[in-house]
Amino acid sequence: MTSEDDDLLAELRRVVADADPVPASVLAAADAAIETRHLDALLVLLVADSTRAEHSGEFAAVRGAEADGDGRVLSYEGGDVRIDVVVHQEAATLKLVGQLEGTTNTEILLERADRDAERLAVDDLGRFLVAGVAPGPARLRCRTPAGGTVVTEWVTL
Amino acid sequence: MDAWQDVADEYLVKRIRAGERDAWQALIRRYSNRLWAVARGMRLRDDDAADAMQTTWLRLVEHLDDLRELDRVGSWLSTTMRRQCLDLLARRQRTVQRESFDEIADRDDPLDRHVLHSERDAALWRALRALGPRCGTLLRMLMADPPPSYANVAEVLDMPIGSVGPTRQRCLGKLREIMVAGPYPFDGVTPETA
Repeated sequence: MTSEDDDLLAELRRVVADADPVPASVLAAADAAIETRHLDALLVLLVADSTRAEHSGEFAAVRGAEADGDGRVLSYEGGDVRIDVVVHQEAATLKLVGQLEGTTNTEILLERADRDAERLAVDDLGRFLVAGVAPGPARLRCRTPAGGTVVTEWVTL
Repeated sequence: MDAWQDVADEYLVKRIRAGERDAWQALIRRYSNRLWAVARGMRLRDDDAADAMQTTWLRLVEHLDDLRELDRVGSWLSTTMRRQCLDLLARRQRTVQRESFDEIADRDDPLDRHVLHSERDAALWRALRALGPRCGTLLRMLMADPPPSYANVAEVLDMPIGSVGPTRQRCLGKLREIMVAGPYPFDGVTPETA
């Protein structure tokens, strides 16, 4: 490590701070993220995402299906709850088609980082549907059979 | 003044768990530069970089209570960010295979929206942008304030820790070559060398 290298890096640091600082809106959003904390919720983890950069075996087939326009498949699991969501791209917005298993709810909440949650009706078979969803971080929230809160891991839609 | 500046990560996370918003903001100040460096080094466009960063912070919030090695929260954040960025890139351009930093195409140039102080600054910025994603990410991470450990850089770039120092040197060398060559192919050619 030479001192010329250190000097150049210091110069670059200053240039980058001018040219490409972390936007204030991004910092404000990060600050607000702490308000999403749920101390008592059951977290259901994302167990499969057909568009993950890393994939193997089972996912290869799902990924192939998406290439045919069948959408991105997200699967969450935790406790006895399982939620599957297929995300379809529709111009600039997204359509979500979901299936809830392991708990009966008449509605499920679509929570967003930067806007109000949206209440989605769940039918007798556990299905839900929503269109016109903006891209960005999202999670789903519903209730366990015992009445507790279930939240899915955050995912960037 | 930042009262939390010298506080260890472990203590910071404990204060965040206890509900102290100040501690949360201190953690954001500590790691935002590094996370942004990862996204921009990997050439995510503005909205994708913002989404990847927001999901990374939200993930930390949801995992706050089951995080085990509290002193490694910086490493946890940057590897989560890297994962988010790779996933977004994979969705945007289905051709990017995992870990292939060298194949990420360049996107919009933030310089269009910012003004730099001098020609040299602008040239440095262009040279940095002209480097491949691997060099770009490595240098931008090392520039972040506070700087990450070489171990953390190695994790994000998926390279042995012993390669970080030599790669840093090589990338800065490449940057100097680009600076000498100038923005146009013949600018660096003097009558003597022509």
